Amino acid sequence: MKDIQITSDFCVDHLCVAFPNSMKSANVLSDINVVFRHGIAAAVIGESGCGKSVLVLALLGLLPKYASVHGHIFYNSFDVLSVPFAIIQSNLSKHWGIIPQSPSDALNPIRKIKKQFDDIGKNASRGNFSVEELCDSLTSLGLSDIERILQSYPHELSGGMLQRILFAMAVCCEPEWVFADEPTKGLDEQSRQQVSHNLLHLKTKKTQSMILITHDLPLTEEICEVVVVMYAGEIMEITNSVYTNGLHPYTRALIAALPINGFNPIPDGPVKNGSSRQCRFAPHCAYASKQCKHSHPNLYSVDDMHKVRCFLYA
Amino acid sequence: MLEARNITKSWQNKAGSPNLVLDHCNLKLKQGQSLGLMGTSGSGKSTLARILLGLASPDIGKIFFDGQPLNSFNRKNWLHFRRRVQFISQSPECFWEPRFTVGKSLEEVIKIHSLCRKDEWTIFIDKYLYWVKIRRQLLSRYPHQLSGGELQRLSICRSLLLEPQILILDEPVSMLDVSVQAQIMQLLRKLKTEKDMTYLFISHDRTILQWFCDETLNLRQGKLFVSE
Repeated sequence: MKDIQITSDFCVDHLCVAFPNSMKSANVLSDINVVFRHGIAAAVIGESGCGKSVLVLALLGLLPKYASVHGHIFYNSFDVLSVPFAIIQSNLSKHWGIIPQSPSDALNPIRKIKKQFDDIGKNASRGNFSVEELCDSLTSLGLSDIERILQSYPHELSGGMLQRILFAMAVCCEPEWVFADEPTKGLDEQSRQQVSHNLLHLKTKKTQSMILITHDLPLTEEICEVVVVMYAGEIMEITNSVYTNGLHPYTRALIAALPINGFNPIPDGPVKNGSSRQCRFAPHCAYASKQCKHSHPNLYSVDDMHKVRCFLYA
Repeated sequence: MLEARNITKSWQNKAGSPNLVLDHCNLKLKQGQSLGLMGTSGSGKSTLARILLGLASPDIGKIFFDGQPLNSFNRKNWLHFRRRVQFISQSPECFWEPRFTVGKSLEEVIKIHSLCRKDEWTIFIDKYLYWVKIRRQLLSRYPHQLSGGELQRLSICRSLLLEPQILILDEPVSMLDVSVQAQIMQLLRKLKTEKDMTYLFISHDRTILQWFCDETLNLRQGKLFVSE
């Protein structure tokens, strides 16, 4: 990535992350190169442990200090990985809104909701929110009786209400980017539809730049223009739709594992981050050739928007 | 085998007034059947499971196991019931002792139910690890060192040690990713055909229930309806 422009895109350039453990260093991300464009909703999908959460932590400058990190992440004029955390907090984090996975764990249990909104306002140097401002924001997400909600503690509200409050908190400072971590995990169909509706609402009314980490493939189809498929710490495919344009054998295996397609498991289950001298999906791939077992494929371009890490498309 | 007759249960809400969760519910699990239980969050599915397991008592109604009401059970009956009816939860990490390795937790089950001699523990456990495709090396790890899928497969393994007749599964795959979900569902189906297991499968996902269950009940406003 030679010409780095000052934009609100996230440009991830040769990112490698490893976590040292007692025996050896565990590579979690290997040579990640991807651009998340401003104004585009993107999803990062893949099975548990594939590195998608670590990628998003890296984007937000939140990797733990003991992580061994190489590469760059450019956002505006900053390299997120090399600037001090204090600068990220003061200059960058106000541009980012985060919708965490578990609403009940994400809020301070001993502070009322209004106070927690004000804390966010203070961190973003914009001061307290007026009740009218919050009424508008929360009503647009389908909540009523806002004054009671603002004076409640988190335990006095239902899971669905807390989820919508977190959506409002993520966008209350009008961020350029919204990050949502598994927003539909463990939800029933009705709540899932509500979350999907709220994400669409955010996208159309507040900010179009969004990164979703999810296992929910239908949600990516409803919300996102770009889907990044990860496996064992690598990007396997970047496409606009896994359903209609998914080419990588792993992407197709993910689709086949969906309940609607009869729960066809990926053979032998997930593998840990493997050797860099072969395709990491080769041991489980029905199309693997000799080449896949002896050399490592690059991310080949199928068209402008579509890249696949597979020799079938080299 | 396991029957719920006329079960009614209400919880007190914050204002102190009763909130009716189950309203005269009847349910019968027959040998080899896979019965689905569907409903939205908070509809009372897990409450009904807890009552069926004897972990909560109904306000009205009784649970019968092999014709005998649970409220007449003595200690010996309860031990027999716990061997025959096992429970798999949505959050496996909450059902493992965090201070024990998973191997030690599995051994606890063998000890409590006197399933075999101490020198046979390894062979006994290995037989069931094979079923759930878990390597023996993982048994030296603590629950927090395992993934959700591994822990869920070990939960199934722990239940299988007792050779149960009935498995009550409360959203066993809702927190897992699609590939691990597929592995667990295929494992449960294999157990159904090869061990003639009886299931009560609780889920809010209609597609999963349609794929897995012979019949599905829908819990709405405290009442059970046969789902189409």
